[in-house]
Amino acid sequence: MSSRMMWALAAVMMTGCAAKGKTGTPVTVFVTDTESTAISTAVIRHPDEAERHRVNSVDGSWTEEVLYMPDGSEIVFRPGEMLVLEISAPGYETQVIQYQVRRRKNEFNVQLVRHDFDDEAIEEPMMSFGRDNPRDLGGGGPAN
Amino acid sequence: MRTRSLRLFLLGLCLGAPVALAAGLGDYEPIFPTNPCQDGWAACIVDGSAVTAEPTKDAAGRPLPSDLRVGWFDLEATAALSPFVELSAYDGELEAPEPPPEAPAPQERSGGDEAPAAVASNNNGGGGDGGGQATQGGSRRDPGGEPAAPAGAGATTTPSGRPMFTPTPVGQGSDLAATPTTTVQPAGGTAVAQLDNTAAVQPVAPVANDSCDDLVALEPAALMGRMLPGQVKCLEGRLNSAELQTEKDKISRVLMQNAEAAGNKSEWERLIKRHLEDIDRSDPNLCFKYALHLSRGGVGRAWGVIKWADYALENKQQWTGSTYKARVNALYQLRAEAAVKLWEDANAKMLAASGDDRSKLEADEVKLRGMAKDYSREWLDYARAAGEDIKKPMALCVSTAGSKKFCEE
Repeated sequence: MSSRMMWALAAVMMTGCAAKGKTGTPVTVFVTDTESTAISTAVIRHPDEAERHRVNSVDGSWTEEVLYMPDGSEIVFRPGEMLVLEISAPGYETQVIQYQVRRRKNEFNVQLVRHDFDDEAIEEPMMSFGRDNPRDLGGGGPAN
Repeated sequence: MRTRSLRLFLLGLCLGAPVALAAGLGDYEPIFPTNPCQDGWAACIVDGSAVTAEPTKDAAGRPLPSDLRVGWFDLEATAALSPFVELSAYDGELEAPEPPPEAPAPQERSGGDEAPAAVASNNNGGGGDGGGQATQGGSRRDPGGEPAAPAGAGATTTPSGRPMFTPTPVGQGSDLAATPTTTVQPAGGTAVAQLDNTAAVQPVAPVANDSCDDLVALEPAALMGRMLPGQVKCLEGRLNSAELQTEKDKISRVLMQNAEAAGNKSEWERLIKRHLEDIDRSDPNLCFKYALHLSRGGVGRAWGVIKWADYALENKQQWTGSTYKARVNALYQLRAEAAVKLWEDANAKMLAASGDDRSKLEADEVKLRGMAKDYSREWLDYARAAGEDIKKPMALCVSTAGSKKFCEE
C-alpha cells in the first residue's frame, strides 16, 4: 500500500516538473515602448549568439528556456543563473539586461526608448549667390 | 554715522544729477513720428480725424504716438492700424493761396540787378521786411495749401537764395500736379508763383521695374524675399534661355534665395530640386541644405536624404576647419538616421505582410538593416575620429547591429 502511494506521488511530481519545461525554466520577456505599447519589431539575442529572436508581433512577448550558441553549446535557463540579453528594435535604443532566473514567474517587461532624431540642432548652411571667382594667377612667374 | 550717510546721499545726488540731465530732446522723437500715416504721408485724415505727428489720445485720454497701430494700454485699433493701404489721393479743396502782400515798390538796385524776388520761398526769417513772402500757414496734412511747399526740384530756394534741391521720388515727381503753374507778373514787377487750385495731387503707384538684367542689383531684394513677380518671371525666362550653365546657376541661386527669404517653402523646394537635378550639384552647401530639409519629412524622403548627403560628402573638401567637422558629422548623422527610418519602415511592412510578399520583404529588411548598420558605423567612426560626441552614433550603431561588440573600437 505504501509503495503504491509512493509511486503515485512520484508520478504526480514528475508530471509537475514536466510542466515547467522540457529543458530549462521558461523565461518570458515583454518588450514595450515608454507608453507600454508592445513593440512588434523587437528582437532579442544573447550577446554570444548569432541568431536574433523576434518577439510575438501582437503582444511583443518572447519565451524561451534554452539558447544555442554558435559553437554548439547550450545555455539552459536554470533557476539561479544570470541571463544576459540584448533587446533591440528599429528606431529604438538597444538595451542590454541581466536577469537572474527564478523557479517560477519568470516574466518581466523591458521598455525601449525611441531614438532622438533631433535635426533641429544641426546648423543649416547659408545659400550664396553665384559670383565669378577671379582666376588665381599666382604670385610668382618662372623661377628665373 | 548719520553725517556720513548724509554725505553719501549728497554725493550720490551730485553724481546722479548729470546722468538724469543727460536726456535730450532726441529722447522724445518716438512720440513725434515723422510719417504716422498708413500710406506714408506725414499727415492724413482717417475717419474724419486728422493724424499728424502730434500725439493722439486713446479712449481714456492717455497720449499715444500717432503711428502706434494699437493702443498701448487698451489694445484698441488706432487710426494707424493697417499698413496695407495704398497711397491715398488728396481729394480735398486746396486752399486759395494767400493774396500776395503789397508788392513793394520797385527798388533801384545798384548795378542794375533787376532780378525779381521769388515769393514762394522758405526764407521765413531773412530780410526782416517780409515783403512778398508766403507764411507757413495751413495744416501739415494739407500740403497743397502751402504755396511754399516743395512741389518739385527747383521750386524752393535756400535762405541764401540758391535753389534748393528737393529729392524727387522715382516715378512720382513728374506726376505731382500741385506745382506752380502760372506766374503772374503784377504791375509791381514781382513774380508771384500761384498754385492751380483745380489740380489735385494724383497718387501714382511706384513704377514696377521688372527688368532682371543685373543679377547683383537683384540680390538685396532676393535676400529679403521681396522680388517682384515680374522680376521672378523675367528670371525664369532668362534661366530657360540661358546657354551657359554658370549663368543658369547664378539665376537659379537668386530665385532660390528669394523663395527662401519669402518663406515659400514649397517653391524653394521646387527650385532647389531643379537646381540640383538640372543645373549643378557640386555645391555641398546646397546638397546639405536640401538633405537637411528632406530629413524633416517622413520616411518617403529618406532615400533623398541619403542621395543628397552622399553628394554633399563627395565635395566636402570645400569646407575647412570646424565647419568641415561639424558638417561632415551632420551629414553622416542624416544619412544614418534616414537609413534607420527605412529599415524601421521595412520591418513594419514585413510584419504586416504574409505569403510570398513576406519572404521578399524579409530580404529587403535584411538589406536595409545592413545599410543602416554600415551608415551608423560610419557615423560612429567619424565622430570618434573627429572628437565629436559619440553617444548618439553609438546608440544607433548598437541598435542597428544588435550587438555592442560590432560598434566597439
